[in-house]
Amino acid sequence: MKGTQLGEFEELILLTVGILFDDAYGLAIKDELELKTKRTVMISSVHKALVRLEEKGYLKSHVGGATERRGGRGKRLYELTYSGVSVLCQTREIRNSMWNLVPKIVWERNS
Amino acid sequence: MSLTNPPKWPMRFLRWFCKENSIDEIEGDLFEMFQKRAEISVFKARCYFFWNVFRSFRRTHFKKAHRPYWTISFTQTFRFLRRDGIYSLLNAFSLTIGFIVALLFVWYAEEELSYDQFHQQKDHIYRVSFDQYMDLGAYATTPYPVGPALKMDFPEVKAMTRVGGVGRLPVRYGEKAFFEKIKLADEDFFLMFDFPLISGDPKMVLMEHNQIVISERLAKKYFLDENPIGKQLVIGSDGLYDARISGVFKDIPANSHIEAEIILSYATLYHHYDWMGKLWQQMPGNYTYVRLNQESNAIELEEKLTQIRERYVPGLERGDYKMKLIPLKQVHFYEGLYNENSSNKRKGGLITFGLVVALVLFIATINFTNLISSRYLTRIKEVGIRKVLGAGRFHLLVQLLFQSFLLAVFSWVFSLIIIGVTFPIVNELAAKSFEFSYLLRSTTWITSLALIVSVTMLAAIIPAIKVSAMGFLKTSKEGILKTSKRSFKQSTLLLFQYLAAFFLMVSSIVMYQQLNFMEEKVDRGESSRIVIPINDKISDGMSVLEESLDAYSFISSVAASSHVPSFYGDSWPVRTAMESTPIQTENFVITEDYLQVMSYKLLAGRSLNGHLQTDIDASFMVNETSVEMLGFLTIADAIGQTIFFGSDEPKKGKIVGVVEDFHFESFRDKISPALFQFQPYDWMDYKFLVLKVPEHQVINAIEAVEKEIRKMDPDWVVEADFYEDHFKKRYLKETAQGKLATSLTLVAILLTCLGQVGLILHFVVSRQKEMAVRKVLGATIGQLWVMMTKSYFGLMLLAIVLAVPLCTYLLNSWLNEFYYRINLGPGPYFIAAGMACFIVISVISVIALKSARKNPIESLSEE
Repeated sequence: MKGTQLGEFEELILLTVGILFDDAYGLAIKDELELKTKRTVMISSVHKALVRLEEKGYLKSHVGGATERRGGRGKRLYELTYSGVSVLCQTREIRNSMWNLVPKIVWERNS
Repeated sequence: MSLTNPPKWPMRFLRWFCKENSIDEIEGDLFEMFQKRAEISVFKARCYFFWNVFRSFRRTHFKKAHRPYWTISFTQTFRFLRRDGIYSLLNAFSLTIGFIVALLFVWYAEEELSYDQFHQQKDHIYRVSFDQYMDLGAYATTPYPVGPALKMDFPEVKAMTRVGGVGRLPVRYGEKAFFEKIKLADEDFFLMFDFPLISGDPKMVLMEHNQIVISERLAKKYFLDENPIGKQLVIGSDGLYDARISGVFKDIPANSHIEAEIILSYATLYHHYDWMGKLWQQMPGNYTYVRLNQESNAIELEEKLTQIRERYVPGLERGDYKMKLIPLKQVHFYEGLYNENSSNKRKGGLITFGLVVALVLFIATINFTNLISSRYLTRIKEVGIRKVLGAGRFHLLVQLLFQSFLLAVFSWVFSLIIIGVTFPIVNELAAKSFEFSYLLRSTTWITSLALIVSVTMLAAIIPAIKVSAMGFLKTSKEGILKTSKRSFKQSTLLLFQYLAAFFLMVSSIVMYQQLNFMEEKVDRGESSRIVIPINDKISDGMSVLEESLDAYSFISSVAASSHVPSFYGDSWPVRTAMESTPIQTENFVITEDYLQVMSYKLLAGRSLNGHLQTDIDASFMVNETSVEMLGFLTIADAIGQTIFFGSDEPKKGKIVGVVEDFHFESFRDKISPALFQFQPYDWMDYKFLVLKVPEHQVINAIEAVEKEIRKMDPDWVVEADFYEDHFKKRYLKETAQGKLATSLTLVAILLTCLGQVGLILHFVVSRQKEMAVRKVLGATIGQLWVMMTKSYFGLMLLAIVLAVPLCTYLLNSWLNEFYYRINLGPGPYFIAAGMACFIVISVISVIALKSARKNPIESLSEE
């Protein structure tokens, strides 16, 4: 299928949205990413990627509860769509199949 | 937990640009982050906040600006440009080139037409020139006494100044010494002309002898930051022209026909030579200007000028002393006089230049028109659909026009950028000094606007009207058909393009040939001829100098002469008998080895011999032309004949040798008679040292000369030039013309190529399917190639056939201005034709073959 190129960052965000399940919004995603990947993530990159992914149809969003913590502003909560899930699976499959094709000796020699 | 408030300004900024949908989300996240960080450090939190707001300033979050509908044209145009890609770029680039050429021409013309316009009193200033000076012809210059006589005798003349020169002399102040061109002027100079003085009183600066004024640039060169006023300059080496600086004037602008950097007062000359006031019949060498008072009529005054003849040259036997007044405004373009200003241009030349520029612009516009027309034809379907959706006819028309307008504007902007970047190259080519400020001139904007609008109109109006008028059904059917055949209009335009390019190519080649021809006539083999100006002190010691220089092994031969063969010199009357009419002959005072140094051939007789007393006192050599003009039948006849040199107390002598004719004036004139002799009078000095030196020894030779000359005169400045370069400076104008022609030709070729490429691409794309089908039916690549090239090639041949008579006529008339010219043979035509065909065919082949080789299956299945 055309256009399923998923950037590394985008893939990570999709996964994080999956992990956070109920509470996947900008800041939470950023924090989780930083935790898991151990690298600094800019909040604006996260926002931009979320918007892009939503345009591509891998995510859908709705406005969630406002908390005082946010000064009364609502959160935009994201969740994976069907195509989002399928593109993640596809990517994973391609990776896995390539992993399996690598002869064992490469792993043993380099470990 | 209390909430600290994040900084207000970033928030306002965020709210301003961010779109409705995302504002809550982004603001909220940033707010939360801020709170968390504030618990640790408020300051850091604020910093991060600023940073994050800044990073959020990305297009994805921008508010959807509410744009009026007509701006849709912009988006549409960009869409189309992107879609058509390279094709649009090519033709837009054509237009860019056209704009560049047009703008440069406008600036050039503006400057030429603005010469001398800045003088406030220009309407009353006239230059005095001769319609007939004695029996010599029409001269732009006058002898010394004419100016002052006019001022004295005619009350209509309110002010007068002469502008003359004493040539290039070394100027020394302290350690700094350079050769400068020294000019002369009278005390009214700064009162008549608007050359503002930075220091010094305009009424007084040139009043007395030993007064000199210099330009700002020169002041900086010699004095840096010191005040030059009152300082003494040493000029030349005999102290004659030494003077004290009385003023500094602002650098004279480029558009003034009067050029000067350093001006000495005429009073200085009169102080040293009191007989100058009587030189009514000497070769005229000064430009004389008069300013009349308001009420006077120049024509009336002109008629009165005959009084000068009656009063001051009553004994004039031959010819006349007829003067005329030329208004200052006309001086720059005036032609037909001897000794005319070197910076003068011919109005005809300017017009020709303009026509060529128009030609180039024409080619560029044709490319643009082709682009627009073919684009419209491919968009016919789209237009049809728009109509169905309800677009009005006028609306569509405007849209289509606007698209082409936008493209034109875009090309124009690009042209400005290119001009900005290439200023130095252009300035060198055209010998002008254009600057950035020219871009802001009103003429620039007016011309640009006029060009853009007219090009847009020309290119777009007809297709736009036709297309917008079409009914829906027509568009969907015919659109496809119309794109493939080349319309008659397109063919004619292409024909003109080929014609113009071919014409320019031939012209360039011919100009190059002529220049080459002239250069070769002057060139003499592998040794270099070096020319070094000297003064009279060195001239007096010439025999010693020659000997010492001969001692150097790397100097082949040494000689000296009174002037270097170039345009202005020294002409004297020469007769075969006292009663006969004299012929004006160019006088060369030389030393023995002169012919050897300059490599001029002796045709008969022998060269002058320095050991024979008769040769020193009473022998001459003459050139071929003199033989004829003196009335001898053959060259051999002339040998041994007696001639008289000069009018008052002529020198009598025998012709011992005849020298070949060599060029020392413009190639436009027949070679004048010339005569060679040893120094006849003490005051007739050698002004130049000439050396013949093998090419690789030039630097050594110059050093040796410097050493020897310093022994004789430590104050002199040695400046060495190759003889060829010296001569080349004389036909700078033709060289510049040649360079200009070549550049324009290259431009024309480039444009035609671009146009060609565009057309071919279009052709190839629209007939792709047809090609594929033909291939399937068995056509070979060769056959396809022939099919594609055929029509263009035919057109090209037609263009060549049409161009040949046109070229021949025009180029012959240009060449006829030269007395010595090449023959216009078929060579240039063949070369140009060959080049043109080659270019066209290769362009076509490269692009078309690529598509012809394409797999038909791919072509047919592409949608």
